Amino acid sequence: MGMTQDFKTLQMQVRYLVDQELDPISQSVEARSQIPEDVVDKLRNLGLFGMPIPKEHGGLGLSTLEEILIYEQITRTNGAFRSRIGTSNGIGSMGIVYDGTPAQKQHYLPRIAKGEWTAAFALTEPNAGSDAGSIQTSAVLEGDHWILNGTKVFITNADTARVFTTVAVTDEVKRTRGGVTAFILEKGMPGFSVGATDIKMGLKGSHTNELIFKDCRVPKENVIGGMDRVGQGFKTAMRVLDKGRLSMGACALGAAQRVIELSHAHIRYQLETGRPEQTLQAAQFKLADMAIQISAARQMLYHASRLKDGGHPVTREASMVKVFCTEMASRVAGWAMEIFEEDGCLTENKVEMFLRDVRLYRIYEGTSEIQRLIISRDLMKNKDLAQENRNEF
Amino acid sequence: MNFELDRAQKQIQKAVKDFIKGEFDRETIEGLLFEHQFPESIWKKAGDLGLLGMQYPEDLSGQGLGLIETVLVAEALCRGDSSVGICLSRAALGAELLLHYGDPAQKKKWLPLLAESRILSCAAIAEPGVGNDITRCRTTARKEGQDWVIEGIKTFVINAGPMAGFYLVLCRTDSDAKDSQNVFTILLVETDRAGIETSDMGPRIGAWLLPVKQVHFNRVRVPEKNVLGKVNNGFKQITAYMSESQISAAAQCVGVALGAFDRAQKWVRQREQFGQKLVHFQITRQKLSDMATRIESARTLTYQAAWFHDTGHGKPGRSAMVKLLAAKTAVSVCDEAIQLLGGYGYIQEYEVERFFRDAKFLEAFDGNSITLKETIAEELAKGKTL
Repeated sequence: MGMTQDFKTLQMQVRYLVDQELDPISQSVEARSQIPEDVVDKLRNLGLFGMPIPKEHGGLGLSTLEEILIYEQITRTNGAFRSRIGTSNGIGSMGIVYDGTPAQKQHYLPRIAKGEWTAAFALTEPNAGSDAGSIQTSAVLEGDHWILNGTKVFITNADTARVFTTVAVTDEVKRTRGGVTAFILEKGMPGFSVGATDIKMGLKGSHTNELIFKDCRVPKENVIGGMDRVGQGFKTAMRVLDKGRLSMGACALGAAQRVIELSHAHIRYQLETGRPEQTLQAAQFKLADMAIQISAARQMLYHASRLKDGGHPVTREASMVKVFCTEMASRVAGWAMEIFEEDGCLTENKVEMFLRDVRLYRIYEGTSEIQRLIISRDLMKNKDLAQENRNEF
Repeated sequence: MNFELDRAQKQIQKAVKDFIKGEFDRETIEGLLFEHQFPESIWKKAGDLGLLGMQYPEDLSGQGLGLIETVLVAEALCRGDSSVGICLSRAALGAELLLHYGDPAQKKKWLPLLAESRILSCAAIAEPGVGNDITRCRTTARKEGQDWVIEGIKTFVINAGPMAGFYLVLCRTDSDAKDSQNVFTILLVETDRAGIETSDMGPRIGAWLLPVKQVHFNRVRVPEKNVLGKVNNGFKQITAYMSESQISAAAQCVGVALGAFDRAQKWVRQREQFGQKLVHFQITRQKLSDMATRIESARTLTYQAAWFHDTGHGKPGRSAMVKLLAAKTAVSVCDEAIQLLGGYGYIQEYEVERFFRDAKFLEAFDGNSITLKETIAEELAKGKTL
């Protein structure tokens, strides 16, 4: 694929880390709901907290395709590891990368890239899920500070993060049309607190929490992009989410890849221990279905990533990737459960963990329904689809 | 043709509904889930109310009812709460074997204890590494003097442990015979016999309140009177038993699907996004309709299978079909329920994720999809027309 030697080395290092260090502790991470800090250090040492952050700001400066390939490797185990680095690489930091002032970039990005400060992203509210435009958190300017009030929910890595990018309404009339502003918050600011950890279906080693802003005082300088960008926050948030869709596809793909590997090993083991071949035909056909789906997802993802790296708009492609890859991963995990029969129910056999983990991918960073909305709207913009030629790029 | 439930059946449905309202307390259930504990007090009360062992004769603490009544109760209980419902519906697991093949002394001793919720029972059939193919089971029972001596490991034994009264163990008793149909015998093993060890199977996807263990039989000795029915008749007994228990399992699946549906329906009728209730979006209504259609078809086929069973026309293929359809329905309905609740669907508090995990458990047990299709195909391959 024309990757640099440096990148190939990184890819191998990540693969080795997953096989040797992460996967062996997968079950205890799940049971204790915690990733040991010395393991997080290993992720830091490889630079995995700053994959898309430009080199000048201390990151690895990976291209979209390169980042996708790393995600594909690191999600071949418990999804909590990827989640630990995910927000710093994506939704937590990209707002600063895209729209931050030089001073903001210089202050935050190197620390985020090193993994010294974990970054998180706080958009969702109790009454604003898919409808992000209906957020109620408010920000009012008082002297040199913005005063934020409101509640955010399901915030990934809220407990470990130091830096949060969040959005609040600064003009109740304009709202999403120039009335929402993006801020950089830091843990410890007066009036900022982290609420209870959610008990989730999966990804138990990765936490989501509530965030509470109660007269939270945020310095004026912490508006992303500076005071000139007051009112432009909704655009920033949507652009951030746009980027995450390809990454989410890669995470689903990596998980599905591991699931087919586990299923393959299980069938081979059954054959080796004397189970008659004719009783495993259905299982082997399911394996074939998995391979077909995984391959299709992979090509789709790589194609969209290359388009993005080539500077093409990929809004539709990114949404298609997110829907297809995440739903594909659920299907593949479901088939694996059938192949494993009753054994599939046991966490030690891993497939049920993947089934639970990947279920979240169809929900967060834009549900499958929101993706279909985006795709259908983009399609309907055309008067005549026959006139559209997207094969050019 | 008559699809109407009779008055007594409707009363049973009503009684279960009231029972759920009174006993399925959210906080209690959350506590049980946290501890992974069997819902002992709810089970006791279910026994007091007569919800257990309804198929047993009246002189054995039962009510002499049919499978259809058991199906109605299982459905309602699992609808109320998937995890508790599964435990109550499975509290007397394997007892159908005793009811159909046990001698009067065995029945008299054990069935009342089950109906009165004083013990749980277990069917110890599956073994490590053999999957759903029970003909590959290796646990043996050998005659030594007047006794049978059992040696082997059984896995995924539901209800195993301190609350169980006995195990019905599928054992290989004839090592010479080639035909797998005539080499197995079911032996009743009281849990206090020497040589029984149970071990935990670790965390699992769902049915967290249900005890599921591996059971080691280390030269466990039982007398001749513990043989269930006739020696070397075990395979036929198990086949008939599976056929019956798959209908109960299907009813549990239907209940789980209904429970998830109820919760999702309530959610979409109150949750607002983009300025309107979710239920007003066409796509939400399409989803609800799909879910409801699937549930009603699985439910109808399950009732029909129970009715066939009660009228003496039960068939393994038919039971396998309802289990297949109902489990698939439960999984897909619960999955869609999670999606409708969005982020809330993924967290424990809103229950549907647990219903989904419990549905996945039910799907894998009592024959998974591949095995069930094998069963369905058996007669079809012989040319049976539909």
